[in-house]
Amino acid sequence: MTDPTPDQPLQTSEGGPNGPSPEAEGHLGAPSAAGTPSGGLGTRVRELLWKSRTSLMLLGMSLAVAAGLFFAMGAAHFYDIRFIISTFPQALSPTETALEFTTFTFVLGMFGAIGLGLVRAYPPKKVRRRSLVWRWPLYGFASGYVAAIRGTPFLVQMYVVFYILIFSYPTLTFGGWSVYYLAGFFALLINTTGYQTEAFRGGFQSVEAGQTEAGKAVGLSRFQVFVRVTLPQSFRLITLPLANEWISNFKTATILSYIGIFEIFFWARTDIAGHLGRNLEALVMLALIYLMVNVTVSRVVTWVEKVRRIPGLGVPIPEVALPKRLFGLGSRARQGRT
Amino acid sequence: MTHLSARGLKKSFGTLQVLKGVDLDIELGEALCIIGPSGSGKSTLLRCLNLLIVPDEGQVFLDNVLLTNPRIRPEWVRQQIGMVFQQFNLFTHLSATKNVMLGLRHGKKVSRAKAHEKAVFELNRVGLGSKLDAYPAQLSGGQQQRVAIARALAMDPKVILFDEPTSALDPESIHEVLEVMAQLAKERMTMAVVTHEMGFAREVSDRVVFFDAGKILEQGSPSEIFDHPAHDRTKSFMDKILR
Repeated sequence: MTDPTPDQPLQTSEGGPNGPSPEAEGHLGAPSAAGTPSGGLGTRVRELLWKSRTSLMLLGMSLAVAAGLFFAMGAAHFYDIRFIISTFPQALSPTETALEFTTFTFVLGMFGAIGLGLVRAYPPKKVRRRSLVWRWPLYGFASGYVAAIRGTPFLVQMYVVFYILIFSYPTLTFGGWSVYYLAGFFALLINTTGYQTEAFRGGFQSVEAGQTEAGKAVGLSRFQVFVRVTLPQSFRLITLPLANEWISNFKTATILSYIGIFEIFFWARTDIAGHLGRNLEALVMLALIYLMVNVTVSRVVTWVEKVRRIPGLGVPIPEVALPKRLFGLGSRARQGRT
Repeated sequence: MTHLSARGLKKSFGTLQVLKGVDLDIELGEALCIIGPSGSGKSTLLRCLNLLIVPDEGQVFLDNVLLTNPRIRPEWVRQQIGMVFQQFNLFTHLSATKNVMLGLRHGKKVSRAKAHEKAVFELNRVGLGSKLDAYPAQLSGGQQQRVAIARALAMDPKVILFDEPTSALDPESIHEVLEVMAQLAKERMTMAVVTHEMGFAREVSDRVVFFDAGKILEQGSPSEIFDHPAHDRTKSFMDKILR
């Protein structure tokens, strides 16, 4: 689960009122990479690869470190590498289940989170007009919901949902899913909705007031301003926090095994550790699967965000050479690290 | 013929009364400059005219239509009255052309092709035909403000309000933006300009309004206000800025 977001808007890369930041101006030099394709496909691919060389190198190094550790511990006979390699294909189906749970709840939760985030982003503090009194309970609900989700362990949330469903509707099924799967799905859904709500709230609040004012000034309704201006800008501002939330959701999904959902943790615990007695092998396989998925997702999203970035919009990424970024050489590099 | 007029506009923010009963008439095809010290409520007045801020009291009329009528959609009002901001406020996620197109496409429901055509036309009009696909952050301040003017013009507004359009610009950019505005004034676009550019107010405007402490203190032709101000407050303001 993501760390609690501080109740502040995200930083944007706007360089202040007097014009674009130097970082944004840097993009002027490379217009061909900023969305206006030029040259053949090969040139464009090479350009992309060159632009994302840092991401690729970091990805390669992460994988190399993981692989090194994996083989070193295998060589020391902590576990049986050959067993792990031959059993690995079995992990495919439970991994799929975990990915499905994660992604479906994530996408569905996003819709709720956009609505709740909107409610949370604009507290009705200044609203004294009687016609808008209804916004108070709505805001109270959204805030209470977020506080409850972020303030309690997922294990507890899941069991609450599970027992409510299993006692009240024990025969509930939907599309071939038993009540166990439904309970797991709902629990993960309400959990990720709560966390995503805070991401969207931060995103909405980071969109400058001038942007919405300009939207109104060109004759858009409040709803149109939200859909055409606030929402697209927020998505770009919170791409990385959202990716983090997907990863958190994926890791949280392990807990679903406690109510009998056959995902990877359940598979590793019963089939590998339980039946075959291969405890350490099970854990190593789990770790490898999570690592592969999460590192890939994280790197791909960072890369896409960087390549598809609109100059002047988004949280600035310092342009620091890789050795500096890795080893913190030089004061500028240290400033840039977060 | 009175085009846009305000009667008895009052607006308070908390205990601070920013507008204290403002009557203002803008004639068709007139370039009106509103000058005065900072914090006197000039920007609030402009925002009340296109209902970005709803006045507490008073009426705004456009061609004798009461805009402050709660049954009139504010979106409709703002399609009639364009606005250019001090901080440009271009949509950062959209290219110059798309910035201009947004209000046309979704406010006025113009087709994509027509909106694009109009956007290209207006951007050429402000001299930015070569920057159609640039994002705001790739443009200089002056270029951004010209895109903002094109964005306002594209809606074919009856009036354009300028809220200190050059205050956030460097001297070179100020010139290019003022040139575009002077051209608009020449084409008899109805405009109300809040500005600290006294040269522009004197040369280009048809009428100057001196605004202080939430009220219009005096108004008249540029030469009346700049050379023969009637009011002591106006005199001291002119002394300070024209020295």
